Amino acid sequence: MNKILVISIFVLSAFLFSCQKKLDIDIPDSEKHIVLNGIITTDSLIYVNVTKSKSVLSNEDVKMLDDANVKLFGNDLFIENLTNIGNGVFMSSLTPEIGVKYEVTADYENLQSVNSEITLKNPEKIISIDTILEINSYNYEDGYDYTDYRMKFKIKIKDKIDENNYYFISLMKKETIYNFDEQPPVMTGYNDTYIHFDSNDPIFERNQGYFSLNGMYGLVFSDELFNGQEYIININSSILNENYYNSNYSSVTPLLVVSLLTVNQDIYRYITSFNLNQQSGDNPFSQPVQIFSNVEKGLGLFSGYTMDVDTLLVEIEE
Amino acid sequence: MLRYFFTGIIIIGINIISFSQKYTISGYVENAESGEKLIGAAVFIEGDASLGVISNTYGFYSLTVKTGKIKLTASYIGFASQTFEFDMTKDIRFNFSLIPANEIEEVEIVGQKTEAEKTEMGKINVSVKTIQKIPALLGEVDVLKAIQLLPGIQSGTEGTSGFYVRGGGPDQNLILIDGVPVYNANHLFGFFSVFNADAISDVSIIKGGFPARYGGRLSSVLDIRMKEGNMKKFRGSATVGLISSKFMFEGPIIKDKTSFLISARRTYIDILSWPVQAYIAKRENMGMKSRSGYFFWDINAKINHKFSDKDRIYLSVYTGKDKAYSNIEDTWKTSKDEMNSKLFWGNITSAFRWNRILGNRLFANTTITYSRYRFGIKIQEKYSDTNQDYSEEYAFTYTSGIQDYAAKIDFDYNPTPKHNIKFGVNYIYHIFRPGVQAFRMEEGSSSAIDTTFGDSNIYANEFSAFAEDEVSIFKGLKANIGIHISGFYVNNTFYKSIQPRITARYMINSKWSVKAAYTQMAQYLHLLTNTSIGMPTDLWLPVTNNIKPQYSEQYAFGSTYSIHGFDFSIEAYYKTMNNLIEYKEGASFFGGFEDESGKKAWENKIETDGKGTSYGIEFLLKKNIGKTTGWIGYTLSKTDRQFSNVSFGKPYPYTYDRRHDIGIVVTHKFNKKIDVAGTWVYGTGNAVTLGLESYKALTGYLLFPTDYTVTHIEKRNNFRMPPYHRLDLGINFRKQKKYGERTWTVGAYNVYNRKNPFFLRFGRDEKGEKGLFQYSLFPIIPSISFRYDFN
Repeated sequence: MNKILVISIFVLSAFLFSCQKKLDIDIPDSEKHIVLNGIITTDSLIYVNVTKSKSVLSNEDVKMLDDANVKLFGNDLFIENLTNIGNGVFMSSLTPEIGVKYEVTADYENLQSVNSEITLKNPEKIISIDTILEINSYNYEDGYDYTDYRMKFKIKIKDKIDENNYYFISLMKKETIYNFDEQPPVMTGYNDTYIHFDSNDPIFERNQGYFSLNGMYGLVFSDELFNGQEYIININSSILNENYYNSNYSSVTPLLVVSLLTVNQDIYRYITSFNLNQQSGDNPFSQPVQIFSNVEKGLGLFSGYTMDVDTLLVEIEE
Repeated sequence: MLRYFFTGIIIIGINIISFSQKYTISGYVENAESGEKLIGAAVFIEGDASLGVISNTYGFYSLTVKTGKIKLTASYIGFASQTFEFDMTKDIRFNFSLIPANEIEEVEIVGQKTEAEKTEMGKINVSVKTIQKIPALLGEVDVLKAIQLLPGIQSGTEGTSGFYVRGGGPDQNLILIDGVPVYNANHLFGFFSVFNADAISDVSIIKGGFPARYGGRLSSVLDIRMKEGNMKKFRGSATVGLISSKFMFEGPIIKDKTSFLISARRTYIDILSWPVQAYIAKRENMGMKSRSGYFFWDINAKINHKFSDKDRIYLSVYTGKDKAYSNIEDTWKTSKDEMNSKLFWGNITSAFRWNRILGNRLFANTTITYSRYRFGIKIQEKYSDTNQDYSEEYAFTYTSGIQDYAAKIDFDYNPTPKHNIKFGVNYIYHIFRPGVQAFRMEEGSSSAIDTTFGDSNIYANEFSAFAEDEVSIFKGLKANIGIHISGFYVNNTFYKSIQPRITARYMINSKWSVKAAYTQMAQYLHLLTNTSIGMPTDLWLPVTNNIKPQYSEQYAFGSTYSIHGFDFSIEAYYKTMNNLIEYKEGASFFGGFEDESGKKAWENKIETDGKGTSYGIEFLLKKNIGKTTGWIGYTLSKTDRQFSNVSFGKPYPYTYDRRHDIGIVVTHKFNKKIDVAGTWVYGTGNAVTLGLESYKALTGYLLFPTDYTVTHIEKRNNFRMPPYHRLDLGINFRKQKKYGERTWTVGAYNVYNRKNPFFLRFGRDEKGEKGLFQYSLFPIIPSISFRYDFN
C-alpha cells in the first residue's frame, strides 16, 4: 500500500517537476578507503579480499589491491604476511583456532591503514531435528499435474547463557546424479543446492532476504527471544517437486543438510544492515540504510563463524 | 530549579495578598465595524504605559487602579486608538469599540504596546491582512506557508505546509484552531494547509518561552482564532482561483446579539480533468469506463450569541476532507469487472465555548471540544459473468486515526495592575486507531474470507492544570511565572510531569528591553512518519508502557528594540529533546501484527530512545504599520538527532538542520487601488543521506569474488542539497464597485525560475555517464485570482 502512496506522489510530481539537473560533485581521491573483506572458520585457511573503494560515479572496475601489505596477528603477536593469490585475495598458511584473537592489518600506498579482528566462539549444537513431510498434489485443467513435497522442520538448539549469541541457518539438498541412459543407471556425482525456506518464527526479522555467507545461503537471527534457553526453530521448505524431476537426477532420496553457524555479532549486524540497504532501494523518499563495517579506518567486514551440521535422509515413497 | 521556582511563587503570592485594592474597570475591546473582539489590544493608563493590560484571547480586559480620575487608552494595530476619562469611584464596565484605520484617514497609531514592552518571548503575531497579501503558490493563500517565513520556523519539503520550529519535528507543533488541536493540517500531501484565511481573525505562534497555559507539545504552539461573525451587518467574499474557489459569508442573526460566519472551499482539479479522461478513453477506443481524480474541500462555520454583558457562547466547527479516487468499469461480452479505490483523509474539529465575566476582575472561559482525524484506503473489486452465473468480489480497507473529546475551564484574574493571573484545568479523552485492516473475499455464493486484523484501538486520558502570573516585580522588570502540570493514563500506565515556565523582561529604557526564558515541556503523543513530506499515513500514537513521553528543556535569551514602528529583536536558544521516536531502518507504516507479549505492531517498528539538540540565534526586523510593512528574518542554527540503532548510535544532522535561513516579506500600498507584495526566502540545503563511495560487498564465495558493489554511507544525512532560494511577487488591483470591492490578484511563484532541489538521486545522463541528478518541483508558476468582497 505504501507503493500506492509513492505512485501517487510520482504521478503528482510528473505534472509538477520542472526539470532534472545534473549536479557537479567531486570526491577527492584521498577520501577513498581500503576495503577488507574476510570470513574465517575453523576448517579453512584464512582468506581475505583487499580492494579499494571508488567514487560512486566512477565507471571503473573495483581495484584489487594485490600489492597491499597484509599482515596476520594472533593474540596481538605477529604471525605472518598473508600471501597474495591474485584477484585481491590473500591467504594464510594456517587454519584459525577457537578462542584466538586474529587481527588482520592492511596497508596500501597513501591510503589509511586498516585493521580488524575476530575471535571465533565454540559452535552451538543442533540438539535434534524433527520433520513432518506434507505431500500435496495439484491437478490443473490443462492436464498438468504437480506434486509438492513440503517439509516442516523443528530444529532444537541450546543457547549459551549470559551472552548474546548470533546464528545463521542454512538448508542444503544433496542429490545423487545418475545417468539413466545407461542400464542400469550409473551414479555420476552429487548436486548440492541451497534451498529456500520460509518461516513465521519471530526470531527471523520480517522481510529478511537470503544472504550468501561464504557461499551458504541462509538467514541470520539473534538469541534475543530465547537467551540462555533451549529453542525450537520452525522452518518450512519445499524440498522436492516435480519441476525437479529430471532423468539425470535421483529425485526420491535427497539428503538434507542443516547447518547452524554460530556467527560473530558483526556478521549479524552486517547482514541485517545489508538487507535493509538493499530493500531501501531506489525510492527517493525512503531513508537509505548504512551497511555495517568493523574495519577500523576502512570498509568491509572481517569476521567468522563456527558450524554444526546435521544431515537427514528423506525417504519418499513413490 | 523547582526550589527557586516555588520560592518565586510564594513571594508573588505575598505580593498579591498585600495589595491595597481600589476600583476596577473591565470590559471588552471590540472592532467597531463588526463587533468582533480584538485579541491582544493594549489597554493602559495614559501617561503610564506600564500600568496597562493586554486584552485576552476573548478580547476581555480588566484593570484595577487607585481612586481618582484616569485617562484610559485602548489601542490595536490597524485601528485608531481611543482614550476616555473615568472617575474611579466605583467599579466600571466599559467596552472599547475601535475603528479600523482603513475606514478613516491615515492616522498615526500611537500608544500601541511595542514588542520591547511585551513580556512574551519567542511569540510572533502575523496579521491576517499581511498573510492574505503574501504571494502564494497557485494563488492559494496559506497561513502555514506564511509562518514558514518567520525566523526559527523552517519549511520542510518545497511547496509543503509542514513547519519545523527550532529543530523540532512537525509532531511537536500544537496547531490549534479556536483552541482545538488539528492533527493533520495538510491538504494535497502537504502542498496546501487546511486553514482558509478568509475565516481567520488572528494567528500567533510561540517558539519558546511558552506560557504555562500551553502544553502537550515540545516545540511550538500555533494558535489560530476564527473570526466570530459580524454582529453589525452582512458581508462576504467570493474568490475564484486557478485550482479552487471559495466563499465566506457572515452577519448578524440578531443584531449585536447573535452572529454567524460560514466559509467553504473546494478544489476542482478532478472536475476539470473529467473531459480529458473521457476524450482519452474514446480516442484509445478502450472498452472501459474510468474516472479518477483528486479533490479537497473544507468548511468553517461559527455562531456566537451574547446573552448579556457577562455571558457569551460560541460554537465553531471546521471540517475538511481530501479524496483521491479511481473508478474503473470494464465490460466484455457478458462479463463485467468493476474496480473502485479511494484514498481519503480529513479532520473535524468543533468547539463550544462559554465566556462569563465573574465579577470585574475574574473572567471564565469554559470549552468543550471534539477533534477527529481519519485516514483510510478502500479498494473494492467485483467481477461477474452473467453467462456463467459466476461472481466474485473482494474488498480491502485500511483505516487509522485519532479522536479527542476534551473539556477545559480557564480563568483570567486581574487583582491589581501588577498581576495578571491565569489558571485552569483541561481534560482530554483520546481514542487512537493505529491502523486496522479488513479483508473480505467472496466467490460465488460462498463467503470465503472475511477478516479484520491490525492493532486494536487505544484509549487514553490526558489531563493538565496550569497557573501563571504576569507580574511586575519592579519598574522595568516584568515576568510571567507559571507551572504546567500534566498527566497521561494509558493501558494501566500513568505518566506525569511538572513543568516550570518562566519568562522575564527588563526594560533598559522605554524602547529597549532584554528578555530571558526557561521552559520545560512534555508530550504524550508521537507522530510516526517515514516520509519527508506531510503524508496522510503519518500515525498519531500515544505513549505506552514501552514508549515514554517526549520531554524538552529550552533556554532562551534575547533583546528587543522598538522605534518608529520598527521592532528589532534578537533571540538565542538552546533546546534539548528526549525520548524521540523514529521508524526502525527499513520499517514501513503498513502491515505487522501484535506480538505474543502484547506489543503492538507499530511498537515493534520504532526506535524509542531518540535525543535531539538544537541551538541557534534568530534576528527579526519587523514593521507593522505604514504603507510599507513586512519583516526580515534570519536564523543561524544547528540541530541533530541520536538514536542507539540509527546510524550506529552516532549523532547525525536532523533532516531540517538549516544553518542559514532567511525570510523577507515586504508589502507596499501604493494607493487604495494597488498594493504589491514580495517574499524572498533562502535556506541552507536539507540534509540527505547519500552514498558517495562504492565498494565491493562481502557476499558469495570469497575465493571467487563477485563484482557486486554497495554504496558507503558515511552517516545519516551526510550530504547537503544545494541551497534553496526563491522570490515570489504578487500585485493586487482593487476597485470599489456598487456592492463592494473587487480585487484581481496577479502573482508569480519562483519568479526567477530557480531550480530548487526536491530530491537527489544517482543516474546516468544522455551520454550514459553516471551523475548525481537533482529533481526540482516547481518552475515559475504564474497565478491569477479574482475576489469580490461584499460590504
